[in-house]
Amino acid sequence: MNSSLLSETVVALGVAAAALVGAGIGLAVSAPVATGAAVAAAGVAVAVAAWRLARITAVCRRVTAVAERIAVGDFEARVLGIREGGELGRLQHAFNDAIDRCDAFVRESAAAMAAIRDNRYHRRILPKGLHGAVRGASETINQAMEVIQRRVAAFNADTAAFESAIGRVVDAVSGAAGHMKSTAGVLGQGATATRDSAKVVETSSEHASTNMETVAAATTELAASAREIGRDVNRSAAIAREAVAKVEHATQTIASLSSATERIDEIVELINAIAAQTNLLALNATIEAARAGEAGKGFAVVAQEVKSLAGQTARATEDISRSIVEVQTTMRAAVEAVTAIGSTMTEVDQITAHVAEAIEAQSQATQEIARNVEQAFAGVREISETIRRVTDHATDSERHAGLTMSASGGLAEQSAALGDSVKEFLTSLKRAPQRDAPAA
Amino acid sequence: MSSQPRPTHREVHFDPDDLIVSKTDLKGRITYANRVFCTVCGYSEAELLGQPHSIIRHPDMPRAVFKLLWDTIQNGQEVFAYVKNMARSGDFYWVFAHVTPSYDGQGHIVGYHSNRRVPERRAIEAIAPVYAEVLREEQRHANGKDALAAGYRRLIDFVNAQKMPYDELVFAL
Ligand SMILES: Cc1cc2nc3c(=O)[nH]c(=O)nc-3n(C[C@H](O)[C@H](O)[C@H](O)COP(=O)(O)O)c2cc1C
Repeated sequence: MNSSLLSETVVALGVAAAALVGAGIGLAVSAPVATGAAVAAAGVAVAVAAWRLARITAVCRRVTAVAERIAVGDFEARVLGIREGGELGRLQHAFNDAIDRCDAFVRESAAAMAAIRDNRYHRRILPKGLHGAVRGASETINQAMEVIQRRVAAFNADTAAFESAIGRVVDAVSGAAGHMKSTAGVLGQGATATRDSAKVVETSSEHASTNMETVAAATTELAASAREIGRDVNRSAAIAREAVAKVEHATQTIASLSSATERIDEIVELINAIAAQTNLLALNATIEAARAGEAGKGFAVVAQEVKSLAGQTARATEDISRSIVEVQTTMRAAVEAVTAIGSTMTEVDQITAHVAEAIEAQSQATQEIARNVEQAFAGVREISETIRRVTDHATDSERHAGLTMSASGGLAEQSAALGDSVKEFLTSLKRAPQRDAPAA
Repeated sequence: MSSQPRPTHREVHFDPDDLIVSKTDLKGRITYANRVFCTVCGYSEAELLGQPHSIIRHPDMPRAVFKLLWDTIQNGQEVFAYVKNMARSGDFYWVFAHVTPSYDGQGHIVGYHSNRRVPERRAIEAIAPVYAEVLREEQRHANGKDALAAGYRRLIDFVNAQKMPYDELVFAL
C-alpha cells in the first residue's frame, strides 16, 4: 500500500467539511435534495476518516509497543509488517533503522569489550554503517582499545622481561643453593673428616705428651743422677788428691824413717864396737884376773860377767841390725808400694778429672736434652691445644655446614616458591576477569 | 518459497553507509529483515519472514563456510564472514557479514542477528578463489557429509596456513 493513511484521512476530513458546507448552502437556498446528498457525502467522508484514524492509532500502538521495549533495553524489538506508505511508513522504517544502528553499535561495542575482557585486542568496532554521535563514540572506543592494546603489549613485554629476569634470578639462586648445598655437604664431610683426624691427632698427641712426660721425667732423673755422679766423682777426685798428698806424706815419712834407721845402724855399729872393746877388755881382765889368781878370782867372775854382757850386747845389736835390715827392707817395699800407690793415685786423679769432665759434659747434654724435651713437650702441648681448637672449629664447621645445608634447602625452596609466586602473580596479572554468563 | 532463481553474472552493490540487517530464530528462519535487505535482495518483508536464510544463498558459496558460521554462533560467539548472496533476480552481491547470537535476560540464546556491510574489494579478491577451491573440494564428493567434511578441512587448512586465528584473518585479508 503506497498511499498515505495520513493524507487519506486529511482528504476524507476535507471532503466531509466540504460536504457539510454544501449541506449548509443547500439549507440556505432551500434545496433539500442537494442538502441531503451533501449530508450523506459528509457522513461517508467522516466514516472514512474515522476508519483511517483507527488504523493510524493501531500503527501508533505498534510503534509505541516497540519503543517501550527498546526503552527497557530490549533491542530485539522491531516494527514488523509495515504496510503503510507515506509518512507513517517512513516513520516506522526510520524507527527500525534507528534501532538497527543502535543495536549495531551495542553489538559492536559489546563484542569489542568482550574481546578485551578475553584478552583479544585486535577486535575493533566496525564504523561502517554507523553515523554521527554513534560513529564518534565508536571511534573513541576504538582509540581507547588502541591505547589498551599498546599498553597491554608494553605490559606483556614488561612482565615477560620481569618473568625472565626473575626466572634467571630464581635459576641462579637455586643453582647457587644447589652449589651451596653440595659445598656445605663437602664442607661437612671435610669437617667430619677433620674432626676424626683431629681426634686421632689428639689421641696421638696425648700419647706423645705422656711419652714426653716420661722422657722429661727420665731426663730429669738422668740429670739428677748425672749431677750425683758428678758429685761422687768430684768427691772421689778429692779423695784421690788427698790420697796422693797422703802418699807423698807417707813417702816423706818413710824417707825420714829410713834416715832414722840409718842413724840407728850407726848407733848399733857404735854399740857393736863398744861391745867388742868391752869383750876385749873383759878378756884382758880375765887374763889379768887369772894371773891375779885367787885375788883375781872375783874379778875374773865380774870379767866373765862383763864378757857375757858384751856377748849379749853384741847379740842384741845383731838382732837390732837384723831388725833394722828387716825394717829397711820393709820400708823399701813400703816406699815402692807407696810410690806405686802415688802414681796409681795420680792416674786415678787424672781419670777422675776426665770422668768429671765427661760427667759435666753429660750433665750439660742432659740439661740440653731436658730443655729440648721441655720445648718439645711445650710443642706437643701446643699441638694438643691447637688440635682441640681444630676439633672445636671442625665441630663448629660441621654444625654450620649442616645449618648451611638446611638453609640452602630452604633457599632453594624459597627461590622456587618465589618463582612460583611470581609466575602466579604474573598469570593473575595477565588473566582476564572470570567469565560470567555471557552478556547479551 | 518461490522457485530458485537462476544465478547471473551481474553484481549489485549497496551503499557503504547502509547496513543490511536480518534476524533469525534458532533454526535460521528469518524473523526480521530491514528495508535495505529487502531492497538489495528484491524480496518483500512478507516474502522473507519465516523463510530460511538460505533463501538468498548463492550456489558459489561452499557449505563449509556456513558450518563454520553455525558452529561459531551456536557456541555463543560472534563470527565474521565474507558471503556471496543471490538476489531474487539471480544477481549476486558480496557482503561482509557479522553474525551474533541474541540473548534473553537469562543469558539464553533466543535467535541470531546479522549486520552486513559492504566488504573491502581486495578481501573479496582474496577470499573468492579460496571459496572456489573449497567448493570444488566439496563437489568432488557425492556424499553430502563427506563433501562438507572435506570442504571444511580445506577451509581450515587455508586458515592454518595463514598462521593466525580465523577471527583475525578475516580482517587481515
Ligand atoms: C543471522 C543469520 C544470517 C545469515 N545470513 C546468511 C546470508 O546472508 N547468506 C546465506 O547464504 N546464508 C546466511 N545464513 C546461513 C543460512 O542459515 C544457511 O546456513 C546457509 O544459507 C546455507 O544453507 P543450507 O544450510 O541450506 O546449506 C545466515 C544465518 C544466520 C543465523
